[in-house]
Amino acid sequence: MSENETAETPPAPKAEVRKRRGISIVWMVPIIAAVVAGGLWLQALQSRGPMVTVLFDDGSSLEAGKTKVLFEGVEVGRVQSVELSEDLKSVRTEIRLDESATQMALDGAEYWVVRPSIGIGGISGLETLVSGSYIGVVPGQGSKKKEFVAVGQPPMATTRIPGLQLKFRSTGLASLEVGSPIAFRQIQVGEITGYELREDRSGVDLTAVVYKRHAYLVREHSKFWNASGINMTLGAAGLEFKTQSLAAVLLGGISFLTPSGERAGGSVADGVEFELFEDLDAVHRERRIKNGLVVILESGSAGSVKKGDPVSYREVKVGQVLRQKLGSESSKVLVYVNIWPKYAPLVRDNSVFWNASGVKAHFGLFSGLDVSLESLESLIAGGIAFATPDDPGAPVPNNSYFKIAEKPEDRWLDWAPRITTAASTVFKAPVRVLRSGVDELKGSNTTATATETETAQVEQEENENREERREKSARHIGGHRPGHRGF
Amino acid sequence: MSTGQTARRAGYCSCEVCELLVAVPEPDLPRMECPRCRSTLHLRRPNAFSRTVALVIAGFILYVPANLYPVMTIELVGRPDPNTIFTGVKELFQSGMWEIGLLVFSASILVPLLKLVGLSYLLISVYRARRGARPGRKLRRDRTRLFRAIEFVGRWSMLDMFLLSMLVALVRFGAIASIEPGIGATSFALVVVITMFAAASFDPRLIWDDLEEV
Repeated sequence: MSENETAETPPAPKAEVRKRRGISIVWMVPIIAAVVAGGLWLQALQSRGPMVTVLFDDGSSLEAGKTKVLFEGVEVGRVQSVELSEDLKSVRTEIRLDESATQMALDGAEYWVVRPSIGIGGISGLETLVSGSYIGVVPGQGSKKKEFVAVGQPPMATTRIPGLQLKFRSTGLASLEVGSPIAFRQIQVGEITGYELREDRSGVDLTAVVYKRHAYLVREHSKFWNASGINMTLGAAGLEFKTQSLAAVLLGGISFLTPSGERAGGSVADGVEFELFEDLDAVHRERRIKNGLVVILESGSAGSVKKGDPVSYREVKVGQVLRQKLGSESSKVLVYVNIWPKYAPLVRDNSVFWNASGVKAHFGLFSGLDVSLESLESLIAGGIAFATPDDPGAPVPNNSYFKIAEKPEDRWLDWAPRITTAASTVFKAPVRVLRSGVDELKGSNTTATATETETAQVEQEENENREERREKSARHIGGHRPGHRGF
Repeated sequence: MSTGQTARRAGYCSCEVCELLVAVPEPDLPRMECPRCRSTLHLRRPNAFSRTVALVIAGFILYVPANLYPVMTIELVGRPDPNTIFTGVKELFQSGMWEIGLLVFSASILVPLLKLVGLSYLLISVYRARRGARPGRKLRRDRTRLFRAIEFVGRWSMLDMFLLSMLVALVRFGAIASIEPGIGATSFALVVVITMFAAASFDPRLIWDDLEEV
């Protein structure tokens, strides 16, 4: 381009060449590189948490740089090195924790290895079959600590299943396991998440969860009992088996029931504690003692009366023997008897009690009088019977004392007083339970009376519907007939 | 030590593309074009020295994360296995494939480093020559040769990147196996590209320039 200029023109002033000042744009490249690399480095530095040393009994499947430390399924650290300890008895691992995991380096934090395990309770750690083991951890709360000794198995309640977290107090573990089901009317609605010996060794504390969608079933007055295995009773009525679901038979389990209506109590919050009854009978016993009547019978000897024996009235079981013990001066035996709530009015201050146990009946056999005195069941089970005169006295308070006779007098058996028991409620109760069950499913919390009226309404409506339907179908048939004829 | 005539001193410039010798009326013209192929003519590549310095520094900076961060994370059945270049080489050696290990080591670790060191050496020597150092002719020739080697070998480092991009694209079996590129890969690719640019922006004629001023 510059070749076209001619030399003849007078020399123009030369343009001054100004050297480019400032830095070239190329220098942006190292600056950006430095910023990015510096940022990465800073980030790595910041996300680096404390370094801890954990001693494991078994180093199998622990790999330096690969094995993760997970808390609630989230990676919070990684194993940096795996080596044998000096005494060759354990494996030392250096774990680099994330910055967010400083709590894992506090006293009380627990580390354990999660490996696949298969039991009746289910398969756990299955993911580790292919992904390799990982280290589980729960945070601590104490002071800072550098060295930890791994625990053999995960501590309680580390596996958080969403739902209502419950605690149970039990006298023993029975045949319960982590993963044992919690059933409501044989439907699994939860599971046991852990157990621990109580600190004073007086029992076992269990933790459990009821899944979110069933959590509403648990109320303040719900009763939980151990429904493990098979319940077998041999009685005059025959051999009776009671089982829960198959899983509960194999695994053990907890069942619970919630009283209907207002008696259910309020809803419960996480961490609420319930007593775990040893079986359903224990639940009934507790309720019957609480609401029923307890009387104390004095006898010269215990006879063959023992705990759990029936107390009958007119050969109907109305109560149970709770326990027996020697009186304070050992001169007589005190038999504590529980009369069930609805039959409590049968006991009056002039009632008479006698020993109706099988042995007594046997003795009676010689006199030829008492053979058919009691039901066959009480003959086998033994027990205590009582009668109230035709002219019943005043109702008795709890812990009233009665004498117990060796055998009944003839006239006692003829007594037939008219005493209104609370029996009518027995008939209604199941209906109420059913209805309230439906209501609870709907999520409403209606009282018992409301439910009853509702039941009536529903029934009425259903009847109407049925009639309507009948009418419709009649019309239907009627409408079609001509068509048929037409064919 | 003197050389014969140089194009610059005689007022000529050689087109870097079509090799046409073009007369240059004035040395400091801002933009010249080759009359034959219309490509830009430079007596010396513009800002060759400072550009190369900048790019070499950037290369060194990025070389660090390229080697410290995982180049790829092989995820086999949910078990991520992050690999830096070095762990990859180590694994190759441990599994007995030391030939391939050596290849990867030289192509991915050694070559970029040597390129950066080599370019730094050239830049320092040019800087020192400007300050009055007078290296011998053989040394200058070796330096030129070194530059040629650097230019030649540069593109081969991209082999890793090609392989990685293929792996990332091909190994996609969802939960069973997948390969994810890491920060290391980005840094590594940047190192390779930046060193290539650095080599391209360096002008080997700078090695000889001080001679003609004598």
